Amino acid sequence: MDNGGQKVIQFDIRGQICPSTLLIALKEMNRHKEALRSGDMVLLFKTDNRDATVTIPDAAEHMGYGATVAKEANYYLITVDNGI
Amino acid sequence: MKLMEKAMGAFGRFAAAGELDRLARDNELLREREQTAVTYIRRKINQLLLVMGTLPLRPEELDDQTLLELDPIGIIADSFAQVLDHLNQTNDKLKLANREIQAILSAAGVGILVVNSEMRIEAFNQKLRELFLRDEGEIIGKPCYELLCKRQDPPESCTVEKVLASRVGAHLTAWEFGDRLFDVAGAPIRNRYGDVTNVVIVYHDITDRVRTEKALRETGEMYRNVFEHASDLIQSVSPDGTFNFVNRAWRETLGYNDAEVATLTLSDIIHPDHRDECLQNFRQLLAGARIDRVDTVFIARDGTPVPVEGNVSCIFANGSPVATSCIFRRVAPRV
Repeated sequence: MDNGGQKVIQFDIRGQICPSTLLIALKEMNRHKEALRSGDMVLLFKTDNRDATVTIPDAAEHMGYGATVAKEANYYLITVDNGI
Repeated sequence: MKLMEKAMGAFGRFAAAGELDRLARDNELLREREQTAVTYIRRKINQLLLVMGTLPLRPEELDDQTLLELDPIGIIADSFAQVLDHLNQTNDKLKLANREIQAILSAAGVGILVVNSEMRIEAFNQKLRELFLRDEGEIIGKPCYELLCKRQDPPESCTVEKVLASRVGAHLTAWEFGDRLFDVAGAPIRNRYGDVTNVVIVYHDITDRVRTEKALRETGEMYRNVFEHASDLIQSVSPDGTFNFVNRAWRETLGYNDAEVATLTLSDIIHPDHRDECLQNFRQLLAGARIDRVDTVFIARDGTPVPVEGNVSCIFANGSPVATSCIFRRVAPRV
């Protein structure tokens, strides 16, 4: 997916629980760190695990990224970007 | 010969059985070692997961083979590397911000004090020491009310206490320290939960300003007194034509009291025959023209003409007229 020149990758991790949800998110943030830092990429995580709405944004912010959580109909959408 | 072959066969079977036993023991040992290693890896992964703020792994969540393939330790180690990078960058920014704040504090011409919620001093600038604490030694950690207010308890009008209680800024004017007067302003510093953890107090020395204002007030009173008792008619008129000030001679000559003067404008006291000329002069004066001498005729409350002559001037501020000042003497009517 492309959002105005910014690459958007979405991960559907519904059905996963902690700590797997966090490990998956961390793995992707590590894998795409250069693109995330430069603002060329945004990661979206769809999850139905309420704990992940805290652990993933907390970890992302500790790593210097920005993270927001939006409540959708039957899942949470966590957006991780460069925070700028 | 056959006996020999039989003996060798029996020996071979015996040796093979021994090798199998040894292999079985080695296999058991390796299994135990692997189990120990996997247990250690799970323990370390859980330790790291807890540091990352999440739950430990459940054995049913990842079997041993998947655990090794997923490599959680590698994932968390890479994440920690990013966390450390971010912390280092944040530290660099904080150091720069701290240096900037120190430079601002040093350059400020006011005393600045930072105290914690127990009113103990945590930071201050050089100006504060110059103003209040020249002869004090170490002051960090000491209660501010002991050092600045010279008391064992905070005073009733304590700005720090007001800020801590109200959680918003507070202001105290004319706080005395020795023979000096200070304007004191306090502002809260809140933590992420909104609690006030520190208070910043700024002390602005207003002694000279207060003394100057007092001297100006006294001088103003003196001139007002002189004007009030002068025999000439003295008036100060705003650009809109209303009167800022008239003296007693003016009021008595024209027959108005203070309350009535407040409702008058310049054109009300000028004789109709002289009104156009006089108002033209007034406008020119406001526009910056110099008019040294004025001859005109006022009209008293009872309609009596009052011929006067005098001097007028205009006060300007930032290029704009503020008021005209006029001193008139009564003269004999012209024939």
